[in-house]
This record gives sequence, structure tokens and C-alpha cells, in this order.
Amino acid sequence: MLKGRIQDLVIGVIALAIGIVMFIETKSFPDITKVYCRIVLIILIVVGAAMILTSLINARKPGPEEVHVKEWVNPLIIFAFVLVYVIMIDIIGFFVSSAIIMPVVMIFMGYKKPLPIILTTVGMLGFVYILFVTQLKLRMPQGLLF
Amino acid sequence: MSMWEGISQAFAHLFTLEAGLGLLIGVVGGMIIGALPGLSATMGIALLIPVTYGMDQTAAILMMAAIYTSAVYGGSISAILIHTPGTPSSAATCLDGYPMTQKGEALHAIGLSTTSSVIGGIISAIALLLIAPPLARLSLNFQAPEYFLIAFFGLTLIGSLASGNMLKGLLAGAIGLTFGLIGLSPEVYARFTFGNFQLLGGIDLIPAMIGLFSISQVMILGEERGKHSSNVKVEAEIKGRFLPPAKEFVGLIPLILECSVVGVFIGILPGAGGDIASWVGLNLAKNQSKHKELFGTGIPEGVAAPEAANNAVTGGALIPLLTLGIPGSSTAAVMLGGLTIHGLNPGFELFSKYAGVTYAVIIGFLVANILMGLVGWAAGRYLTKVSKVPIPILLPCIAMLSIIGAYATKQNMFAVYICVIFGLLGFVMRKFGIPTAPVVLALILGPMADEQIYQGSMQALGFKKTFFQYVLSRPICIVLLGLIVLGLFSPLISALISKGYKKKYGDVGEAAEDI
Repeated sequence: MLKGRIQDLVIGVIALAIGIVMFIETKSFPDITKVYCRIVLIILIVVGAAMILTSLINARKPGPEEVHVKEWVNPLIIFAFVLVYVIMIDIIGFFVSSAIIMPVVMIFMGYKKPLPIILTTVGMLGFVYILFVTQLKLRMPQGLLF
Repeated sequence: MSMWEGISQAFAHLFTLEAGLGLLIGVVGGMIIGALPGLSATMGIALLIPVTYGMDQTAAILMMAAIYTSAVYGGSISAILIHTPGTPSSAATCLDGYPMTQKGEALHAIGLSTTSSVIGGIISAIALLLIAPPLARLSLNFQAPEYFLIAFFGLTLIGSLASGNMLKGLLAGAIGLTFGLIGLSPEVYARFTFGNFQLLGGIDLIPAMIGLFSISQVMILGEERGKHSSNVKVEAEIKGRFLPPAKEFVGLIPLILECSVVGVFIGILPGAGGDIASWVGLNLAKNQSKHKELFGTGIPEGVAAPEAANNAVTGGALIPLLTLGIPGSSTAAVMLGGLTIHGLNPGFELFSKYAGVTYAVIIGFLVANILMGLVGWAAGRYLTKVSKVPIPILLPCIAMLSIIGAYATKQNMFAVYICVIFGLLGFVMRKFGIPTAPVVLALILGPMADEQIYQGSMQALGFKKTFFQYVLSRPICIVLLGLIVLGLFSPLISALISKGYKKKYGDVGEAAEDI
């Protein structure tokens, strides 16, 4: 079986499994709620099953491109930065976290000129402060610092 | 309320500083977003919806509509100057636009694109003004069964929002519907909340949308680490005449008008968007030309036709959106989310209770197209500099705006975590070729169908019928069922049209992915 097809097969199995587990959960739901939930979950189960079937039937035919794990490394590091950023916002507040994370990400991405990095960070924080804090009166996430 | 009464009310909403600013920011912002390869109108609107929270309804919706039309135009500038369509709608423009740049006629090509886009946009705004009110009146006869079928009809469009594999599009729709189950049911029963009280209200649409479109894009831009994609070369100096010569313009007017009308109709059709319209426009121009062999060598018709058609789609797409709540494209789906956030429900209410706001938006949309021409004339040539913003600078800015945008929806960190989770989901889905737009559509229409099934079942009980017997006893429902059957076949028809044109004209530069 071609790797691209295996990927689709796995996606189909995951959809099917989630659909079945959630369908069983609906047993305790009241009647009208149960009807709509079951319609939706049957759609998920049928689509999942269809993906499994088409992957198996077309196992040797060229289809979806294979996803290489190597391509995922940098995006997942960026995601980790986003996650750390959000956790930092919860702890030390929005502005301080942004002032730290933004230059770090720019440098990680391979940008080395200090002036544009500083100007972009300061400019964006100023823009957010003026727009969201002074104009839209948004109560920003505040942590221990600011 | 008559159209004229609505229009007279509209001016009070339109002539405010806030509406003017919304219009200007929408036009300039949309143009920049459109010119940046990798960013689409859909993402731009998703990102800016939170900015509109504090704005009044007119200014907010006007800004979104202005971004929509302006981004479609902005995409043509990078198509002409660097052979990279900023949005999928501008792919057809590359074929003649870029050769014009190579011949030293870049400004001439941008001028043609601007003029045609403005005319296409204005015609679509007029069509919106004339067609939408009577269509909205039809929705007065709608009750729960009709609204259920409208939601269902919208869901049949999922196939057409899936640009490639239809099965994966359906899977995306099913994922969205499943997420839509989370929260209190219309019967007030907590479903799949896992004891978390923050989930009782369901998945917040805006953080989910920002995650799916923006955070996933941030992750995809992460692949560019260490690459110097900012060194975009523009072949020729951008100088010369901007406005097309009078003789050339007069000769092009019938073609531009024809493509505009075609664009409006394509916009109204669910599932067929600006990308298809631009190819149809180009084909129309080629079929009517006495010099078919010159297409692809850089001729004015090759720029004017697709650009008039793709901008005409924008007003056309707003017709079913405002009157029936049917989003025919991912951008329209995001705009539907924006309307809902501002308490505006598509249908007759928009043209009666909120007539002042709606007509102000429609007239403002017309003005946005004119303003787009003026800004394009003044700044179009400089927009290519936008394409040179290095990705390492762009990436953290989008990430920060996404996070603050998600936070602004409820002013709590839970919304931010929803945004981040949907960002990861969106990235994984895109990597496996599963489109993200159907998730949004299903997240909007799923709960609507859920609510209407509940209300319809209650009404049906009064007639001693089941819900489905009740549906079949209503004439409008029968028409809607016919439309649903048509909707199910629309992806096949769109795919055939699009495939046919792309095969005929070959591939062009990389477009922003139609997310």
C-alpha cells in the first residue's frame, strides 16, 4: 500500500473510532437531542468508513502525497513557541510575553537584523496598545508583571 | 420597508467617522492582505473580526466587505508584478499580466486591473442592491422547516468548498458538525462537555476560525525558516501610464461589462467563486477575440476580463449570504460568522429591522469599490513592496494578532486555548489535504440545523405529524429540497469547469492556498 493511502486509511480509522465512541455516548441523551447527535455521528462514521474503503480499494494507485515528518519539525517548533507564549501570557501578562517571544521567533526564523526586529516588536505592541487598550477598552490578560 | 426608505436611512449610518474609517481600513488592509502571497481574504477577515467588536454594526460589516473586494483586487498586483497570484482569484491574471510587466508595461497592466476590478465591483454592488431586497422578502415565508433545509443546503456546499478531494471535504464538514455538538442542546442538555462549564456555550466560532485559518498559516509559514523568500524580483521598472488610453478603454468596455455580469452570476451560484469566474472571464475574452493567438503574450484583454469577473463575484456572493444566510465560499462563511457576532441574522430582518445598516453596507460596498480604485491608482505600484516583507517579521505579528483576537472574543484565556487547539487541528488537516473552510461552515450551520430541527419538531407535534412529514407538506421546502439536490451536484460541475480551464491554459504561479 502506498504511504499516502496509509495516511488516509489512518485518518478514516480515527474518524470511525471517534464517531462510534461518541455514538455510544448518546445513549443517555434525551430523545430530540439524541436524534440530531446521531445524524451527525452517522455522517462522521460513514465518511470515516468511506475513507477506509477508498484507501483499501485504491491501495496501489497513486493518490494523496506522502507527508514527510521532516517538514513538520519547524511548524511544530513554531507551535511550541505559540503554546509557550500563551502560557507566559497567563503568568506574566500579554505585553511582557509578546516583547520576549516576538524577537525570539524572528531570530529562530533566521532573521538577524536587530533594528527591524526591535522596530517591529515595539511597533506592533504600540499598535495593539492603542487599538485594543485605549480604543476598544479591552481588559488585557495581566500577569505578575504588566 | 421599501428600498428607497432603506436607502434614505442608510445615509445616517454611512456618514459617520467610524464607518468612513472602517471603509478606508478595509480597502487598504484588504489590498495589503491580497498582495501578500500566502494570506487570503478569508484569513484577513477572520483575523480582523475581533477588531470590529467595539465598532458599530455598519462600520464593522462594511470593513469586512471592503476587505473582501479589495483583497481580490490586491491579489492581481502580485500576479502582475511577480507572477505570484496573491489570492486564487488572480491566477488567470498572471497569464497576460506578468508578460505585460516583462514588456515594461507593468503600470499599464495594474491600471487595467484596477479599472476592470472597480467596474466589476461596482456592477456587483448594483446587482446586490437590486436583487437582494426582493429575495429577502421571500424569506418572510420561512419557518423552522425552511430554515432547517437552508442550513442543510448550506451543508451540501461543503463538497464545493473542498477544492480537491470531495471525501476529505465531507470529512472536514463532519468534523465541524461534530464540534458543533459540544455544549447545551436546544433541549438544554449538556453534550460532550466533559464537565467543563466553559464548554456549555459550545465552541466559540471566532477563536476556532482564527485558529483554523491564522495559527495554521503561521505554522505553515514556519516551513520557510532560513529561506530568504523576501528577495522577490520585479522584472521591470514600474513606470509609465496608469490609466488605459481612452481608445483602448472604450474598446474594452463591452468585454469588461460582460465579464462583470458573468462574475455576478457566478458569485450568486453557491460554490463557484472568484477563481472560477476569472477563468470563465478569460475564456470569454479569448473566444470573442480576433487574435486568440496573442493571449498569454501580455495583452490588455487578458488582464481586464478576469479582473472584472473576479471582483464582480464579491457582490454576487453577498446576495445569498445576506438574504438567505447561505455562504457560497470560505470568505462568505467567515463573513457570516462576522454578521452573527454583530447580532445580524441574514434574511428579511436585515432588510426591515436593520434596513438602515444593511443598505448602508451595500452603498458603502459600492463606495469601497470606487475607493479601491483611487487607492490602487495612488499606491498600487508601491504594493509590491508589501510582498517583500520578510516572513520572519510577518510570522510573529500574525501570531500575536491571532492570540489577541481570540482573547478579545470573551476576554478570557479559554478562548485563546481553543484558538491554539484549532490552529494545530487546522495545520494537521491542511497537511493531510483536508480543507478547513468546511469546518467553519459546519460550525455555523450545524447548531442552526440543530435548533431548527428542535423547533420544527415542536411545530410538527401541533399538526400531529413527524418533522419530516411536516417538511414535505410545505411547498417552499419542496423547492429547497430541489436546490439541495442541485447543491450536491455543484461540486462536480465546478470541478469540471475549473479543471477544463486550467487544462486549457496550463498552470500559473503559486497562489495562496484557498483555505
